[in-house]
Amino acid sequence: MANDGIQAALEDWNRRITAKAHAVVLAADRGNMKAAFYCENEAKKNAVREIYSIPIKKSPKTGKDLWKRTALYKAGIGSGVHPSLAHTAMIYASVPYAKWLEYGTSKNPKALYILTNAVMKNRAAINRLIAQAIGGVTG
Amino acid sequence: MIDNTALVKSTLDPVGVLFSCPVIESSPESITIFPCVTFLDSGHDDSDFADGKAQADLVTVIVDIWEKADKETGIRKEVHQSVDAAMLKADWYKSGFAHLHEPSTDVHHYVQKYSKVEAQ
Repeated sequence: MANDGIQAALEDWNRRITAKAHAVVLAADRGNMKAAFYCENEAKKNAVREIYSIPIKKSPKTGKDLWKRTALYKAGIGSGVHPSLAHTAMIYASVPYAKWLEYGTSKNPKALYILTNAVMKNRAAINRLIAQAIGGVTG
Repeated sequence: MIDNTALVKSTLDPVGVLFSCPVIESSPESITIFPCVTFLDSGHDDSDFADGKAQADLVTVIVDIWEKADKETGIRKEVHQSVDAAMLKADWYKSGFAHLHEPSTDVHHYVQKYSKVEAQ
């Protein structure tokens, strides 16, 4: 009789722990996504600072700055859940020339590191967002 | 603050004979000599706090290796592995890597990111 009580208590404890662990993992995933949204926003800010606030060239006729931009790169920046890795979020730039902007080319070696800096310069904020999300569950 | 320029130069000095051009600190207008190494001082972050003061500097550099096949011989001198070995031997750890190939110029561009914690 006493053993049954202990067994029931252990099963109840196991159920609670499993539910709690599941809730923590879900919260961490939510935190990951929040962090990815944050980094996407920072990447778009970086893009504005590095690309869109600088004129392309001066007009040969008038000498005025030319600002022609399509904003395709900025629109192509996005974030989401990684398709094959669990508990992993990612930010990406979908335009095909994004890698040349990010890392530079031999003709224009100045790399802009728009996506890299959006993550690497905001590690403290990423940690805070994930910790806040987990803290909401664990108290 | 740790001087990244001196750090990287001293690290790559032992393999300097491999390069036909010196290590370039900032981005030049264009890369014309191959193989060539450029690097960027990417970041200095405070690390290892004690009593509210940083005890160490987390140094990050991005080393770009540019390689292209010789027009006459058609042989591409690969130096990125030597650079990588030299950096790892000097206690840098690799925190990023990308290999880009430019179809129009046939230039191979290896982007290698390294970090190191240095006591302040």
